[in-house]
Amino acid sequence: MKRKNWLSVLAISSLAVTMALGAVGCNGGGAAGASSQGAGASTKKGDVIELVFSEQDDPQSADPTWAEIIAAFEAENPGIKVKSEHKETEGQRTDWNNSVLAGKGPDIISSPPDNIPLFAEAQTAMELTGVIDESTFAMLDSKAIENYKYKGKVYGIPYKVGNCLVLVYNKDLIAEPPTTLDELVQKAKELTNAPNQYGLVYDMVEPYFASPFFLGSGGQIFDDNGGLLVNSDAAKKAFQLIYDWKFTDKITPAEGNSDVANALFLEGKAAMIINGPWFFNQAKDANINYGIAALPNAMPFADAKILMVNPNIKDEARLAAINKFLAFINNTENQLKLAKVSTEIPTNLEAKNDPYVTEDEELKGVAAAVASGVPQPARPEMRQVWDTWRTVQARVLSGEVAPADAPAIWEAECKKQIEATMSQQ
Amino acid sequence: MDSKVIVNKQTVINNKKAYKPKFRDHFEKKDSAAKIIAIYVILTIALIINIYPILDILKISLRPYSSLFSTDLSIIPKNLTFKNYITILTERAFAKWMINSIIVATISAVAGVTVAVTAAYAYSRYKFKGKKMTLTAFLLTQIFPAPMLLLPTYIMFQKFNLIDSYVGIFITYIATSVPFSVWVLKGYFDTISASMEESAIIDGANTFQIITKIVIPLTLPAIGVTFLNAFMAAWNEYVIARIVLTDDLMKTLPVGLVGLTGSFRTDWGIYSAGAIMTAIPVMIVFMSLSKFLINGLTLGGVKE
Amino acid sequence: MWSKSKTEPYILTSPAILVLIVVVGFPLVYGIYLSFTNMNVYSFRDPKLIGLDNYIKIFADPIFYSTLLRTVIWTVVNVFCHVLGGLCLAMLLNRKFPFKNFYRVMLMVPWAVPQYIAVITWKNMFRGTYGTISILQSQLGVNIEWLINPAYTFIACMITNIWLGIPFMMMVILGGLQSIPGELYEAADIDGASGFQAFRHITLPLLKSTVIPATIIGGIWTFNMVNVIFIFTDNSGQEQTQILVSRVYKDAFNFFAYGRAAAWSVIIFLILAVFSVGFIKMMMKEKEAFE
Repeated sequence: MKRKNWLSVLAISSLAVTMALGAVGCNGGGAAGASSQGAGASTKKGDVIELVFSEQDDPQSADPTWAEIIAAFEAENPGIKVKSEHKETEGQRTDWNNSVLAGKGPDIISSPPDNIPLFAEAQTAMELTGVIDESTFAMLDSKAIENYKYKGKVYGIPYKVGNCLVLVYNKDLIAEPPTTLDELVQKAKELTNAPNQYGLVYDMVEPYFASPFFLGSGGQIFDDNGGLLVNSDAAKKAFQLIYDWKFTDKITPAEGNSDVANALFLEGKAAMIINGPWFFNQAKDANINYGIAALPNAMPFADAKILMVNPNIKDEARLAAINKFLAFINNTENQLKLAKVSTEIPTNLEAKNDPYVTEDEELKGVAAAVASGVPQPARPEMRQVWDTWRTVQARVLSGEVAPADAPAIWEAECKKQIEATMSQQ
Repeated sequence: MDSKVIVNKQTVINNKKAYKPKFRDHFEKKDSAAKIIAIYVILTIALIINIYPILDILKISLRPYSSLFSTDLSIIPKNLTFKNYITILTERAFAKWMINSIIVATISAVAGVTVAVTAAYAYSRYKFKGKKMTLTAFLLTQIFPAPMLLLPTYIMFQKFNLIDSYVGIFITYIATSVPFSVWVLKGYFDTISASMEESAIIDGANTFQIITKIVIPLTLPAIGVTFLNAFMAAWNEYVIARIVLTDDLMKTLPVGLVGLTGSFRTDWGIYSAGAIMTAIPVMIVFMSLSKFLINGLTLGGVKE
Repeated sequence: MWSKSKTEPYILTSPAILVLIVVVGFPLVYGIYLSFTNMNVYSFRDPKLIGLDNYIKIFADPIFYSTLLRTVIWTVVNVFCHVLGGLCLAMLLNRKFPFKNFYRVMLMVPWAVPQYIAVITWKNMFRGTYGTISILQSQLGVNIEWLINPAYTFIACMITNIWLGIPFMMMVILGGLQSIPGELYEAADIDGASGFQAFRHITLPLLKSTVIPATIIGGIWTFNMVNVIFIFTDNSGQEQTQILVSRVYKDAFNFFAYGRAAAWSVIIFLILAVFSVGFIKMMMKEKEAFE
C-alpha cells in the first residue's frame, strides 16, 4: 500500500485531536479573557485592568451590596474594572489553591480566616506588609490585624468581625432568652413537643455549632507549641452537654444538619437556634419575630472575614489597582455598608464607632458575642481537628461512644491524622 | 440476533393477521391473572422507586425559598413558583455552563470516536505484532482506580499550566472513552465481511476511503453507541472537571451545579431547578437511544 | 487477507495509543513516584523522596485492614444486589404484556440521571425531619438516624449505589435473555420441566457468558466508585463510611497529603491488578476477541 494512503488516515485522526485542542485553546483564551485569569496576565499602560474578586458571602443579601460598592469604585477609577465571583466556602478554598498554584487565579479573595495558615503554607497568599499601602492599614483596628498574623507575618486584611455564633430565639415562643445553661434546658423542655416543635435546634453534624460550649468550659485546642489539648474535662463537659440535650432532656431533634435546623426555626417549629449573623436575613425573610442573645456559659469562636491577595501578581499597575480597591472597600462608608448587610462589626476605626454600629440592637448583640469570643487557632492542623471532632461528635450523638470517653478518642484520632497527613520530615 | 428478532416480529404480525387478537394474547400464554397482576405490581413498585428521586428534585425546584423544606410529600407544591428557574438562568452562569458542557462533550466525543474508529479498524482487519498486548492494555485501563490517575494528573495539570483550560479535559475525556469504543467497534467490524473492502482495494481505494466510504456507513449504529457513550461520559463527568476548572465561566454543568451546594447553607430550590434542567434532556436522549445502547452492550454476550 | 503495508496498523492505532500513554501511562509512572515522596501542605513546592515511609505507615495502621474489609463488603453487597435486582427485573421484562416498553424505559431512569445529581438527591431524601425517607419511616414508627450514625450512613450510600447500578445489569441481562432461543423453553415445556427447572437448566447456563463479564466489570467499577461516598459525606466522611478510594480523595483533597494519597492509590491498583489478572486470563479464553 502506498505511503500516501495511510498518511492521510493518520492526518485525519490526529487532525481531530488537534482540532479539539486548538478549538479549546481559543475557547479557553476567549472565555478566560473576560474572566478570572487576572493574576497571570500582564498589563500594558493605558489598558483597562480587570481585577477578579472572589467572595463567599450569602448571595441573597450581600450580592447587591458588593455590586453597589464595585460600581462606585469603577466610577471613581475609570481604568479599573472589577469582576466579583461568588463561591461556596469549601469550593472557593479548593479553587483558589488549585488555580493559584498553577500560576493563575483571582486577584483578591474574601474568605474565612482558617484559610490563612493553609494559604500561607502552600504559598498561595501574598505577604502584604510593604505591598499594601500603610494608609489602608492605618484606617483599621490594629488589634484585628494583629490577631490574624500568621507566623508573625500579615497575609490578610480583616474587614469585618462577626463570624460568631449566638443564640437566636423566636420571640413569639420565648419572651426572655435564657442566661444559664440550666435555664436554657428548662425553657427548651417546656417548649418541646416533638416532632412538631423543638426547644433548641442546631447543626448537629458540624461541630462548629457546639464548639462554644467546649471553649466556654475552659477548653483549648492547642498549647503554644501546637500540642493538642483536646483530651480535657472541658471536652467531656461539652460532649456530655450535647449528649444530654438529645438523650436525657430530649430538647433537640434526633438528627439534623444546617438545612434541617434552619428550616425548623424558619417554620416556627423551634424556639431557639444556635446560629450566626449570616442567618439573620433568612429569619427576617421568613417573617420570624426573632431576637438574639449571647449563648449562655459559652465562648464562641469569633472571627473576621479576611481579604487576601494572589501572590502570582508581579505587575506594578495591577498591584496599584489592587491597592486602590482594598483601600476603597475598607473606607468608612463601605465598611459600614458591608457591616449593615451582614450584621457584623466593621474593623475600620471610624465605622466601628459610628452610631449605627454602637446603637443597633442586633449589632450590639453580635458585638457582645464577639467580645466574649476568641479567634480560631491559626494552624493548618485545624482541618484535622475539625474533621476528627466531627467524627467523634457523631459517635457521641449516635450513642456509640460515651461522652466521657470521647475526648480521649478525639485526641488519639486527631494526633494520628495530623501525623499521617502533615508530617514535616 | 438481529435477524432472530425480526423473525419473531414477523410471526407476531402473521399471527395477528390470522385471527383477531383477544385481550389474552397480549400476555404470556400460561400466565394466570394473579401472576399478571403480581408482575404489574412488582414492576410498578420498581418504577416508583426508580423515578421518585427525580420527582423529589422537581418538587423542591418548584418551591419558593421560604418553604423549601416541608414535610408535605405531594409532588406539586401548594405555593408553586418558577422563580428558581428564572433565578438560575438570569443570576447564575447556568447558560454558560450549559454551553461549555455542550462544547466539551461534543468535541471530546467526536475526537474520541474518530480516534477509536481508525484504531478499531486496524485491530479488526490486520494482524500485527503487539496487537494482543495493546488490546489487553486498553482493557487494563478500565481497571485503574481513577484516583490513582487523578492525583498525578492534577499535579501535572498544575505544573503544565492546564488549570482552567479545556486542553487537559479534552485529552482526558478522549482517553476515557477510547478503550470502550475500540472494543465495541472492533466487535462490530469483525462481524462485517471484508469482501466489499477487498473489491474496493482492487478498484484502487486507499485505507482512508475504505474507512469513510465503506466501513463507517455500514457500522453507523455501533458508531452511534460509542458516540453516545463518550458524550454522556463527558457530559456527566464531575471529579476531573472539579479540580481543573476553577473559573466560574469555564465550568461545566456538573461542577457548576455542585458548586451551588454549600455545607452550611444551600439554596436547594435554585440547585434543584438547575439539576432538573440538566438531567431531563440527557434522560430523554439516553432513553430514546437506549435500543442502540443495548445492542452495543450485548454484543459480547450474543456471540456464540 | 489481502496484502497490507506492515506499518499501516501501527499508524492507525497510534493516535489511540498515544492519547492513552499521555493520560494513563505518564500519570501512572508519576503517581508511583509521588507515592515515595512526602508531598503535603508543608512541602507542596518542594517535596522530598522518603522511600517507603508512606507505605510502611499505611500497612502499620489497622485502619488499612478495616477499610479493605469494608471495601470488599461494599463491593460484594452492591454487585450482588445489582445482579439479583437486574435479573429479577429482566426476567419480568422478558415476558409479554402491554406497556412493556414503557416500563423498560422508565426502569432505566437511574442509569440516565447524572450520578452527582442522583447522589445529592438521595442524600437529601435521607435527611432528618424533612427527607422523604425520614418522613416515611417516622410514619411507620421507625427511627433511623441516617446521616448521624456512620453505620447507617454507609448503608444509605449502599442503597444509593444499588439504585444507581441495577438498570445497567437489568439491560445487560435482558439482552442476554433475548438471545436465548425460545425453542429451548418450548422443548423443556414438552418434557414437563417446571418453570424453576427451566430457569436452572436453561436460563442460568446460557446467561453465564453475559453475566460474568458484566459482574466483573461492575465489581471493578464498584470497588473504584468514589462519587457516591465522596458526595454523600461531603468528602469528610467518618471512618466507618470510608472505602479505599474515598480515603485517597480525603487525604488528597481535604488534607492535601498528596504523597500519602498516592501511596494509597498504588496499593489499590495492586489489589485490582491481582484481581484483574484472573479477569484477563478468562477473557483470553474467549480467544476470538483478541484475533
